[in-house]
Amino acid sequence: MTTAVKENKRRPAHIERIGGLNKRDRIWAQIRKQRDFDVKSLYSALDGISKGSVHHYLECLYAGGYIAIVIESKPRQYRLIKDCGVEAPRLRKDGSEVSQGRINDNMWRTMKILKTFDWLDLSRIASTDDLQIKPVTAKRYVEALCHARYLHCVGASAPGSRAVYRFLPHMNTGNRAPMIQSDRSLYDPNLGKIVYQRGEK
Amino acid sequence: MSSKNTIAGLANVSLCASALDKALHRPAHLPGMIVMYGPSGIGKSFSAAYCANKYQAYYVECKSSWTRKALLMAILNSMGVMPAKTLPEMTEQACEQLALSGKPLIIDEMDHIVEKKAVEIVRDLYEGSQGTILMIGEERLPAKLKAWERFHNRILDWVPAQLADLSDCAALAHLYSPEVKFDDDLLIEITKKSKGIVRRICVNIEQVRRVAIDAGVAKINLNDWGERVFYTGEAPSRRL
Repeated sequence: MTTAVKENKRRPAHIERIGGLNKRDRIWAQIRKQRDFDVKSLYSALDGISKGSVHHYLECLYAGGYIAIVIESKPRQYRLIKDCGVEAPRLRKDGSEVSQGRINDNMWRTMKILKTFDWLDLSRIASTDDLQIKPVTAKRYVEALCHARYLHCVGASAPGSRAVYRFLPHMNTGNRAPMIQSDRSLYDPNLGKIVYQRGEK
Repeated sequence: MSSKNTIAGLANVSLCASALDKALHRPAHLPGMIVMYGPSGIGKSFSAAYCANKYQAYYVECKSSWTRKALLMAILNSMGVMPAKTLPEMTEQACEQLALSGKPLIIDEMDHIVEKKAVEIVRDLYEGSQGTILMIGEERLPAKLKAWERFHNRILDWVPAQLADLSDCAALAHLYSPEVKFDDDLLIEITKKSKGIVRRICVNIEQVRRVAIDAGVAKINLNDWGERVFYTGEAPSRRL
């Protein structure tokens, strides 16, 4: 290989993701940094991530056409061929996109646009033709965010009418949706921490 | 009317979504900016919300106090990118993320920045990314944009938002009052009294729904509604 041909002449702007990163976010960030890499170069640059996790994500990225194999023999050399920016692609093993998390994403985005809303508004307006959000899902999410003080309840519910909430502008922590965890605490990935725990007042 | 519970069936939402779809799949030689404009309360932000969700777009809403830096900070925040220190660096970051992700950028309440320098940032972003940008604003937005010659010929499509008609009203009633059925005569009256403004239609549907629930009926028509007044957005006239 001649050294004169350098594929990625154009230096990318330094775009770095805000907030707490999960394993795959960190692997993806490292791939974007190295561009040409192998499992070892990634693994040694990442603390606390097993080789298995790296292997597994590379498999997904390869199947999805994001990376190519440059040298087949061991150790396999990879190259980033489809850079989609700071967000790590959410992929299954066969390279297809994972839609999990889109529900929260849509509701989080919609709340910021509507500013004042109730859970029925949210479930209707955040739904698209390929992603239906159940009213009960919206209700649970709105209530969790209200507990964590992202929303202010401007009108309490009464028989026949729904509670109305307002999104507090200073609580726009970022583009990633807070998520309700299995122990019903609320985790904000933008801040990288748990913002509400059950039983807190 | 869509059988699913989405707002996709509303006229303005589908207008906006199809314009954005066209821009995202345009041939390389065509420009990629779209403008949607219309009076307030007509459902522009509904359209923005739907499009933002459908295409996982980056969304910002401008404020009148915004400078160039504030605009860039908001855009980078919506992308989840850690902002750099200087304006040129930030512009480059935003261009990079727009170009790489291929996602559209939606700028709502564009009126607030259209007469300021911040508007030049929007053009820089477009030039630097060749991405798709949807700008939303009030009725006079196109006229104001015309003042910026270099802007003007980068617009692929001008989308005037429409006043809501009977089918929109029926769709909204179906969405917001699933438990109470509205008769057509009532829907016609609501559309007329609300003058096609989506926000007023929503208020009226809610009022009717409450009346129907209080009366314990699952179906309501104009007779049942009777002499009650609809919300028209006007100050009430005095009745003596």
